[in-house]
Amino acid sequence: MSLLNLKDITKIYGARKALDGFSLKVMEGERVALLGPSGCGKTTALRLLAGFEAPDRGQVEIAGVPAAAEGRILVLPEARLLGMVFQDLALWPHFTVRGNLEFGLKAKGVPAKERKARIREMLERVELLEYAAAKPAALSGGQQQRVALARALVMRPRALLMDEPLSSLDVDLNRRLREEILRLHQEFQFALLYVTHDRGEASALAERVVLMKLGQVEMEGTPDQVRAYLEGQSDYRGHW
Amino acid sequence: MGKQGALRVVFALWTLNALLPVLAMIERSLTPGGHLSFSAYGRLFFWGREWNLLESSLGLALATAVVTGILGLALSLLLARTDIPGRGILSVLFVLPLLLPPTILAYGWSALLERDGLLGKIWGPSGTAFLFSSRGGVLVLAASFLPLILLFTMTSLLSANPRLEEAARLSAKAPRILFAITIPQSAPALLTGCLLVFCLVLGETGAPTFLRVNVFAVESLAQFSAFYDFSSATAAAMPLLLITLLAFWGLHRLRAHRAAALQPVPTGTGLRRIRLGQLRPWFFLPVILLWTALAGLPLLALLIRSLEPAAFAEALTRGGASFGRSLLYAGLGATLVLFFGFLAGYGRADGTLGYGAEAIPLFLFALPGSVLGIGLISLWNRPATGSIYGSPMILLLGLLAQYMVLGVWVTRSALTFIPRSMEEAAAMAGASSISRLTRITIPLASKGLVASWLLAFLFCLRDTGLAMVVYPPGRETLPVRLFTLMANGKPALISALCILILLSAAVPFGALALLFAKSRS
Repeated sequence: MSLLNLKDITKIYGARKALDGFSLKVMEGERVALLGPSGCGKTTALRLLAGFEAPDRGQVEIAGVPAAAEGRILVLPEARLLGMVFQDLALWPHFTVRGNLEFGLKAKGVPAKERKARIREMLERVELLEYAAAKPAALSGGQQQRVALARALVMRPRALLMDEPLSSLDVDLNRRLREEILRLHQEFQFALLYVTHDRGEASALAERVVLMKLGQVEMEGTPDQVRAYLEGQSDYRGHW
Repeated sequence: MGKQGALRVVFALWTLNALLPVLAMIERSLTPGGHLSFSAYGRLFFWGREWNLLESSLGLALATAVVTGILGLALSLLLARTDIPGRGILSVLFVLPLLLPPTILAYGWSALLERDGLLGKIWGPSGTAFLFSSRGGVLVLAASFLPLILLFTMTSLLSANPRLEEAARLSAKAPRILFAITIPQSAPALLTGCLLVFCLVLGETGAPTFLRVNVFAVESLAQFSAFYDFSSATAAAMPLLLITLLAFWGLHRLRAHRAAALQPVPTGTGLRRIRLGQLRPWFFLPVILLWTALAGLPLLALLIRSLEPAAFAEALTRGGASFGRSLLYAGLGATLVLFFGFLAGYGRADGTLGYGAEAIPLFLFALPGSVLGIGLISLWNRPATGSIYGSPMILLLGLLAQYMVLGVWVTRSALTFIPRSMEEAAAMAGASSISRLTRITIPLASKGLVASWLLAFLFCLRDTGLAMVVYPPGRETLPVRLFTLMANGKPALISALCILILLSAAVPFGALALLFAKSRS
């Protein structure tokens, strides 16, 4: 059974169709990249899965349970047990690093002792334990990325949704964080849905790549298959 | 001189205009007989009465700031972040009292509660006993200054980064998100608003005088206008100056800590409104009742009182010249604010000017108008500068000093939406810095500039504290004329003048509201 399932989704903003009969399945523990140019509907797909938006047509299922359909949200975001790393990270500036990790655990009623242990463990994993009392603004870009990852993973989500979180980083930091994401995936075995417009990032992180165009799936396959496909498409050459 | 140099010179000129009066006032208070002496301070603070007045003023200011803070936060959340019906109209209605000097609302309340008034018939003398007390003062001043809190907090709530709340929605329910994420994000704006209300109430003279609430701000005015004791007047203005400075130092420390971390996104798109569902009417009802109680009823009472035959004709005869002057001075003042405020805001936005370009104008905005007025007289009432002292120029310089912050704020806000690359592209095309400013930035920010002028016009039009002290003989503005007539003028005439002020402010306010609605849509 698939963990994340978008079934024949249409989502319209004003006069623009962001998704047009779009379908996608992600299995438990699988690493999938949504690849495509700006405005092709990648982020919309992610926001539908997170529960921030409802589809105009079609159905969203999480672990086989209908979560949203036909303009209605049936399962609220906090009940979907998903984690998300935003493009701008969305770290809460008035909380410390520890506070950012603790907020969700408190909301879920995790006992104080367990909270403390889980936060410590997660900060150790991302090598930020010594920055636990720091505010996000005091950290470097790479450290902020790791806090955002840690904040999502400390909730032990079934799937992690990532919306181009590495797009603003330099090449070296981008590579190191990709390795870190893979290491954490190996360790926690969450399903990963990674949105990007960068073919290199998609190839490095995903075992399956879904290529999108104008709100629809253009093709999907292994990174090698998608690369071969793109190389045969003259209009894609040089873009990614 | 390059662009950066020109911007610095313009801001330096404004700073001189704004701060020299304050320095001149300090100098006058310390040299009562032409030589250094603390006698003015000794005379003033020797008696316990001054301390009691200061205590009363601080109590009034604090109570008003707390009441407006609590009401303002609740209302801002309802109007900015829920789907309460009629939120656009409600926002406009709640901002309406900002157009009027607090004295007018106080007068409206007295019309409402007098023996023959709408509520006076029901409550009898207990109503007027309440109004003419400190509690009545808090009510009137809270109604007058609540719009300031709303403007600050609603803007902050509407421009907050929606992703911060979305990140919280993955693990928490709405009430927890409201208290842990949404409100803390807007806390600096709320605190700034409360602090401004505190300072403005501290310096308010008109409404407390009318309501017979003894406050310290009246003291320096009395020393100046009743006793002609200029040294004591300047000395009496000092505590208010020091308290305002202290308050701003506190705010600076607080904001410096938080502002570095809080970076709202300019678009403000994607903010989710809390759905009130079937409770919508139950939220709407108390909100509209609150507005009716705070502003609707007193304005209605004024309107009813003004409907006597010939009241408006007499108002125009006796106040027509003041009305014309008010419009003229407000127009000129707003134009000065627009020019200096735009350049300071532009310099602040591109990093040429530092934090001072916002902090000093904000300090001047919070400084009681009467204190600034006494400072202006200290500076300009000299043989060499008599032509400025004896002309409307002194009032215009005061309006520029007091309200420039409005121009800075609106400019910065407007420039947020213009990518820096617009000017950079023009630079690559070979445009000079003046050409880039006049042909790229100003046209792109034109709506913001119009809004800035309208906002400054409204504040200049309602100004009473400054105008009361510095108006040249025989050239008083309408709010000053109104205040003097309140002592013994006919109720119908005074009410008609109040309505006249309201109407003259309503036109630019309507234009401002339309502009805002258009830019949001």
